[in-house]
Amino acid sequence: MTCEHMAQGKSLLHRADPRVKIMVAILLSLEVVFLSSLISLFLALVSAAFMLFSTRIDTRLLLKRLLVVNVFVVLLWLIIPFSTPGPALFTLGPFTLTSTGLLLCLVITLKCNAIVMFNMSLLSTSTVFALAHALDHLKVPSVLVQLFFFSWRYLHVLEEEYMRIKRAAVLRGFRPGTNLFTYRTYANILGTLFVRSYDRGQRVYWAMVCRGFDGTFWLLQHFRLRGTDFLLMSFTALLSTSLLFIQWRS
Amino acid sequence: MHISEGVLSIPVLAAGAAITVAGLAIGIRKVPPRKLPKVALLTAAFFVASLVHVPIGPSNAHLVLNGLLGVLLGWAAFPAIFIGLVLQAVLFQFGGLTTLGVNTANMAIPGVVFGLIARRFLSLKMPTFSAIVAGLAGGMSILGSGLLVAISLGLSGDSFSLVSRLIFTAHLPIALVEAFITGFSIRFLLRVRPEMVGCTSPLRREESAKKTLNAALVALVAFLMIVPQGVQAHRVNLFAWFDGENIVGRAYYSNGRPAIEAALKVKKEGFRESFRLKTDKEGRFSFTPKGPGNYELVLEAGQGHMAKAYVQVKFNETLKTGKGSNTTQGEADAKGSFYEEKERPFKKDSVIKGVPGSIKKCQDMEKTLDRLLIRRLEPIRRELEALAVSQNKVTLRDVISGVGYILGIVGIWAYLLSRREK
Repeated sequence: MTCEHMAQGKSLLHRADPRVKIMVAILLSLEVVFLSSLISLFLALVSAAFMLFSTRIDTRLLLKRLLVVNVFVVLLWLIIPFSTPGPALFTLGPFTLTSTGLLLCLVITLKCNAIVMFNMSLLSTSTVFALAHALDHLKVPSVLVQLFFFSWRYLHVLEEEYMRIKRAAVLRGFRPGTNLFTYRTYANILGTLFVRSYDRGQRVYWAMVCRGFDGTFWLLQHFRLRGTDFLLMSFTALLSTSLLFIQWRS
Repeated sequence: MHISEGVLSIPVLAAGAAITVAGLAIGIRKVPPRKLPKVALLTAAFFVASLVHVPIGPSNAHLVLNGLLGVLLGWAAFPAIFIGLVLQAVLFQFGGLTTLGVNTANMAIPGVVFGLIARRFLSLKMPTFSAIVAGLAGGMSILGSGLLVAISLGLSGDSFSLVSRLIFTAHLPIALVEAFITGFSIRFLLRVRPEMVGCTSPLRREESAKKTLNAALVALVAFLMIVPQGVQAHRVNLFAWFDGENIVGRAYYSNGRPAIEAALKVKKEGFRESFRLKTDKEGRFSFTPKGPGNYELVLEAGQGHMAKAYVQVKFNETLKTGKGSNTTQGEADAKGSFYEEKERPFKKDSVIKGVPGSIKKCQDMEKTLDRLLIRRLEPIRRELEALAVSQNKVTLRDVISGVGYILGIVGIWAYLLSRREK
């Protein structure tokens, strides 16, 4: 599993305060959802791409991730232009291509990519450790933060566990196919995984209780606003006001 | 399963976020510190399980397991699914922040509802029955979230009706696989670690009867909550009648919106030629038929949406003579119904002075009365029309057929299992 690859780096965004990054990501994402004018959406996309570029993450990784995100968008491009009522651009047999449909698709594509790029450049550039701390500082309910943190902590352990069970099955000649046997085998593999994680959860809890766990998430990382963060904040303020201004003018 | 960013409309996103916040608030209360590591570990296990690709025919699908999560965790499935989605957003950039609410709600609601229902039926004494119930819950959870995805798309705009149908259809085979996997998993857990499913001791009979009754009630409520939503179908309906002079009517889609500027083909029975006209901005149309007879109206609203209506035109003798001369095929005007047509001068004196024996006066009176009646009846007619529109809004067929599909398959499975157990 490739996780947190994007969190490694030394760019300005990597170094920014995760609290600020979370707030900025929420603000910008919400704003993009509200936008409808093409120019402001283009501006949002360009600035998102700029932010993403400034993180200096491996371009191939970025493109791969963006490709996955755009699968659904491609599906929309194949259907929406033909299923939206509106003035027809041209007709091909039973299919009518409408300009409203094309416009809608374009808007969706811009919005989707802009939001995902904002998230990539702002959220994925922090480690989950830092994000969990930032969420706790931002007064997100402690249970949620701890769930988030623990799940991530044991994700890799369980993935290894799963691979181990699966390897055992494959070594015994298991070949997946479309039949009940396969489904039952998968169910048993998953069942084993669940049983093991349940037991591990129990052990982890006992170990934590031994070390004085009482349901509190102790903060080990504290953040301080620095120059980078003010730069990011002023950039966000500038961007969001100009987006709103363009939206309002058109 | 996931709805991408930027697709849904703002009200839908807000509603999804509100539901998710409420669900999280309940779910968080169900996770005391004692249970926290377990829930977290199961969340991680489900995250891993969702990376498992299971073959279905020529392709494969990744598991969602929201039903199994609901069975194992109950309300805590809400935060678990939410956390899973947050992790996906942060680590893999599947989706972003704005759709988090809707996506969580779409997956968690059916999972929690069907999981809680299925939980009540699980018992150590009847492992096969428990597995079938859990399997049903697993399948129904996927169908339910497919339906919710379709509804969220459908509510976001008419353009998504086809997409939402496709997505719902794509959920059917996944629901089948999930039903099997959930059922087998629960069977496994009942054998290996029954306390994980909440079955430490077999239930006493009266207790289980009570639980069954409860569960049936919950199931009924859940069914009633989910079913009437319906998938937004895009069928087009045609409503037409003869008002004594013109054939008027309205065309509307099954979600109640008018079919604007749709082509209407009119054909008279016994004649080969037809003529066309278009509906106006309210989906209304009106034209003057040429002579009595049966008229066939075919509405073509594009993309293969068609609707037919038959109108029988029977002129009164008087009306026929009055109108027959000036009707031509080209005269069909789509501007508005007769309602906005200019009023014929109302001859008051003709009524007063009218001699009962005079045929001319009688004809005049009849015509006036006809027109008056039409005007009086118009509000009622519109109301009827609105009623017809509202009744056509929901198409249950997709939902019921989907449910039937799952029920049938699980039935076959149950049969096979029971045979093997003998």
